[in-house]
Amino acid sequence: MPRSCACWSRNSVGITSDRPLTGRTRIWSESFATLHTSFGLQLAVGPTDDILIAMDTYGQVDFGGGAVGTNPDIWD
Amino acid sequence: MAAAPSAPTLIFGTELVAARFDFAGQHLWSGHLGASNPSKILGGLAFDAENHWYASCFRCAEPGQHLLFRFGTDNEIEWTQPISVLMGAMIVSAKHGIVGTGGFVGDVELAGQKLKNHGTAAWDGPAGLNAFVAQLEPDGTPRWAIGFGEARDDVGMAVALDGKGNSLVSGVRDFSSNSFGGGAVPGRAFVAAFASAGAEFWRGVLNGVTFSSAAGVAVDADSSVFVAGYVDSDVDGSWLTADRDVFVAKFAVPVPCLLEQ
Repeated sequence: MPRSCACWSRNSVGITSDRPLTGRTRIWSESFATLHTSFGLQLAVGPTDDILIAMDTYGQVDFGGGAVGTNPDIWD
Repeated sequence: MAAAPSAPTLIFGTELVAARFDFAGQHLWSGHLGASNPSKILGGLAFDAENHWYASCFRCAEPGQHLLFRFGTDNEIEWTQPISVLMGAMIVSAKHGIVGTGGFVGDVELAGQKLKNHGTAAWDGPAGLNAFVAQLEPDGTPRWAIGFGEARDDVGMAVALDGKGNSLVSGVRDFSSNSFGGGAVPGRAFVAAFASAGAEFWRGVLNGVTFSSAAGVAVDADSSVFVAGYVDSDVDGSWLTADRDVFVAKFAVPVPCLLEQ
């Protein structure tokens, strides 16, 4: 199972996924712009190694499948 | 004359969103976890062995009402269940169902148990925040729950199951989250073990530092317990801005009060 983690800063969310038995060999990483994430950013890995992230956020986020959320950019 | 398009509805608050990727990072799905209250906060997130996933939400539907969601393999909501506690972390096991931890405000009832809140500090209302651990059926029906905490705030931040079905909870205890008006008081990291029916049989508390917190706990096949968090030994009282150090600790459970000084 890949070793995965998610983190956020004020206006972006990042995910990395590494091979656990080969040191720090990164499989992939991605970041997504959002206006702001609040307290909740969680990551879970499923039985088929799917990676799920969820969070509460101000504003829309596009994870690659089109914007989700209903808030437009209400902050500059 | 055609009607003017209506302006989009702005929700001045937080929304819950989620995204799913395969192991190589390919986007599979993303969506909006609908909930009506505009100041909601995501709690825990977990898969089960059948590829369903669960999420919890604080103040989702109404202020003070928390929800637990289950999503199908197609990422559609299968059910939503009100829950009286703020489930900030959870895991799902085929044998033990949903095991969650977090906090609760005021006295609440869960699994037929009245969870008495001993807190007096105001966090989200007139009462303080105490911690809980609970086990629920996969359909969200509570099996058992216990609360623990003292006059100041306590909260469970992570949960794990060992091979015997014991629940391991880490978090922070004896702090005050009421930081408005200068009332914030640092707390201490803890890890505690609960038997399968909810009885606590071991607890360690990290003393000797100004502030500490344990946001991660895991158990290996030998029932060794690993706890991760941070400590802040700054002594000038400015713990909100001081540098912090990470710790990871390994325990053989049960070892009562290994961290107690």
